[in-house]
Order: sequence, then C-alpha cells, then structure tokens
Amino acid sequence: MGLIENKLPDNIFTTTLDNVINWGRRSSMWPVTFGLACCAIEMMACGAAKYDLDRFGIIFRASPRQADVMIVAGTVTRKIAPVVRKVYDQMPAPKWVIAMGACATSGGIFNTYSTVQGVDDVVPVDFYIPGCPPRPEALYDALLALQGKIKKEKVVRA
Amino acid sequence: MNFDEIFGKLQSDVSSDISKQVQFGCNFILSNKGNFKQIIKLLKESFDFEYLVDVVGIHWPENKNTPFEVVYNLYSIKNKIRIFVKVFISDEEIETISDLYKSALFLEREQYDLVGVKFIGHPDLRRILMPEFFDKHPLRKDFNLKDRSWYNDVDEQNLGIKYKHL
Repeated sequence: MGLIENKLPDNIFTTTLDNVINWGRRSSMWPVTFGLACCAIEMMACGAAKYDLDRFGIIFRASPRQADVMIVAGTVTRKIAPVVRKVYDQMPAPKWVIAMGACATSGGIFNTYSTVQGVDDVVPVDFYIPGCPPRPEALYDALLALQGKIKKEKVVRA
Repeated sequence: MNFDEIFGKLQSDVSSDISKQVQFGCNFILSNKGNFKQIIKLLKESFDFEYLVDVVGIHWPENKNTPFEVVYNLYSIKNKIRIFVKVFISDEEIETISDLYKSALFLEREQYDLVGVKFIGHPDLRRILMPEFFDKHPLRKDFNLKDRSWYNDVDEQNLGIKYKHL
C-alpha cells in the first residue's frame, strides 16, 4: 500500500477502491486485549455471549501483530505506560486506539503520584469512552463510531 | 490457648520487658528492636504461629523518638488466633525476619518500597511496586500525594514518550 497511499486523485476507480478497502478494514477490526483494570471486565462482557462482538467481525486477538484496534481498558499507571506504548508500536498500521473509561481518559479518580493522567500522553487516541466502568453499550457506541470513522478515511486518494 | 496465656508464657521466656494491648478486638504485643525477633521466633516455634499474614510499616512524623513503626501480623491456623507484633523504631532500620518466614521476602520489599524501612539482612531488598528509577517513598506522610514530577523527564525504555502532566 505504501507506493500509492494518499497519492491518487479522486475518480471513480480510486473512490471505489477506497470503499472496498475501508469496507474490509471496518468489517474485521481485531482489537488487541489490553485489559488493565475493572473496565476489562466490561470489555470481556462485550465479547461474550450476551453482547457478542463477533457479529461485527470484532474478534479479540492476544497478539498485537495481528490487531488493528487497541482498547485501553483501565487505569494506566506510570509503570505500565511503556508497555502500553510498546504494544501500540508493535501493531501494524493502520491502527486505532480507544481509551475506555474515566481512568484511561483522564486518570479518573486516581489523581495520584503513580497514575498517568490520560493515556493520550502515551499513545494517540481516537475515541474516549466516559463511564466508570462504561457499560458494554458504551463500548459498542465507540466501536461503531470507529467503524464510521474508518468508512470516511482516504486510503489511496490524496 | 488464648492471648493472655500466650503472653504470660512469652513474658517469662523473653528477657526484656514487653507489654500487651487489646484494642479494637485485636491482640497487640508492643516490643522494640532488641526483642521483637525473639518474640516472633518464639511465637512461630512454640505457639504454632505458622502464617505471617502481613508486614506493615507506618510513618509517624510527629513521634520524634520513634518516627517509624513496623507491625507484624501473625496468625495461628491451628489455634485460630491472630497476634500483631508492633515494633517501634527510632531510625529506618530493622532486622529482617525473612529467615523465619519466607513470605517476609516480598512483604518486606513492599514496605521498603513504599515506606522506606530498611530490613537489615534481607537477601534481595529491591523495589517491588514502584519503577526502579523512582527514588522516594510514597507512603511517608511528607510525600505529596499528587507529586507526578518524578516521571515527566524519564523515558526509561527510550520509546519517545513525553509525559505532560505535573
């Protein structure tokens, strides 16, 4: 993709090609499991039978090498922050990040010496989900909004 | 065997004077640096206190003579009795009990990390919770709870992270 990425003009071929690529990307978003605290329980509930993320083609991968989305679910302490960054660096592009819950968004109730006040210090974040912890519906909202964002991205077009 | 019987026997065995205290439904033995290890050793070997539940270091900055206190939480599974051994120390150093209880290896590391009590004789006294480059003790009363300045300029794995928060 590197040679023609964001280099071609708008026309019937490139818009169609972008549509096909974005359809593929948004229909199989594979999040890397990065559960850090209680938000991870809600994230697991999203993947389990009642809410069932599989019906959107969202399958949790334990390996960052095969993942497109990182859901940072929980409190990011200063000690785990380099690990978050390392997992993010290991993911192949294109990649997106969702900061799930109050802690990952802003530090939440943990306004203390050991907690990173928002994971956006460490990795670039696409979506922030409020809540402590957010219900599965809220994570769904973010994932579907992310699908909407991917749908509008330009891949081969400039 | 109840607390009073154990304490009576301890008092005759331990040479220096010790005192007891029952507060909040808990049994305390108050001791000092010189005799606490003898007390714990006797509790373990003669009174079946086979379980070291916890080691807690406490910082009392207003107590000028004994600013630090270490509390050993011992439990006898056989007799279903719990005893807290309190040790008041004037400096930051105390003898390790990791030769008596292996669980003290991690518990003492935790107290060294957070309160800064040095356990003399501990084979591997390193930080266990905070990062290695951190050089303070966050559970001391004079540590500012929201002091995040220590991590802003450090990028210990050279990942290019820039922390912005104070």
